[in-house]
Amino acid sequence: MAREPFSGHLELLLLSALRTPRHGYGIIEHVRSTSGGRFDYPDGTVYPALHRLEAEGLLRSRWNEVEGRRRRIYEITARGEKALASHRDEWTRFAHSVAAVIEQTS
Amino acid sequence: MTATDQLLSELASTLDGSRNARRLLDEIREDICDAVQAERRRGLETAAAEDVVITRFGSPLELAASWNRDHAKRRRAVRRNVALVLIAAATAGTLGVTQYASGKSPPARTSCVDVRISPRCHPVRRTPSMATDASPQR
Repeated sequence: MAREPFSGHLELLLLSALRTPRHGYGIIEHVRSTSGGRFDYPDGTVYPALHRLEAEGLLRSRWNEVEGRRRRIYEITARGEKALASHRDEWTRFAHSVAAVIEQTS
Repeated sequence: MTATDQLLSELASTLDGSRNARRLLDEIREDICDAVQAERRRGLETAAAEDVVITRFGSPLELAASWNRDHAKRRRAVRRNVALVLIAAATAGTLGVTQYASGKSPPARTSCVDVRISPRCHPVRRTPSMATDASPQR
């Protein structure tokens, strides 16, 4: 299967993944596995985006210690939920438009 | 020095913003440990698992470039907000001094008056032209 960069949809994917609280590696694994390996991008790309979304108030984070291991856990905020709904609508409209054009021209 | 230490050291030397950068480095160190453990569970030796994880992590320079861009943007926004607050404070101070120097007291606070208007009363907004008109309202 072809692997794709997802920089254009990064915000949408991260906010969607964080409807369940996760740490950085957990987010990467979640996106990788739920996309069937299609979004297999360098792990490092996710961190600046997470911090950016947190600075914008769309995510919040905290340290969590389990069995002596610390993890930075991220979760979506109410503002993030609104942004996610807006991104999802935008994406759905875009997908429908592309589908309409493809179906008409095929 | 392990591959993880090398990656973190490279990042530490290129990331801007000391406090947030330290948090980011701690976060990445813990996540790399998780990823290495996951690869070991899949059957790799520790060194091989670490190599896989570090390769998959990507270029630390790319991460640092993206991070530093965001950091610079945040700093600019903070500076702009501080400048706006300073300008507002200076303007308010200047107005206060001018008012004091000209001998005027600051405007008195208007008190809330409970105005009751009967249902039969239709108040008419008075305009400057109406104010000069001496004829009574009918």
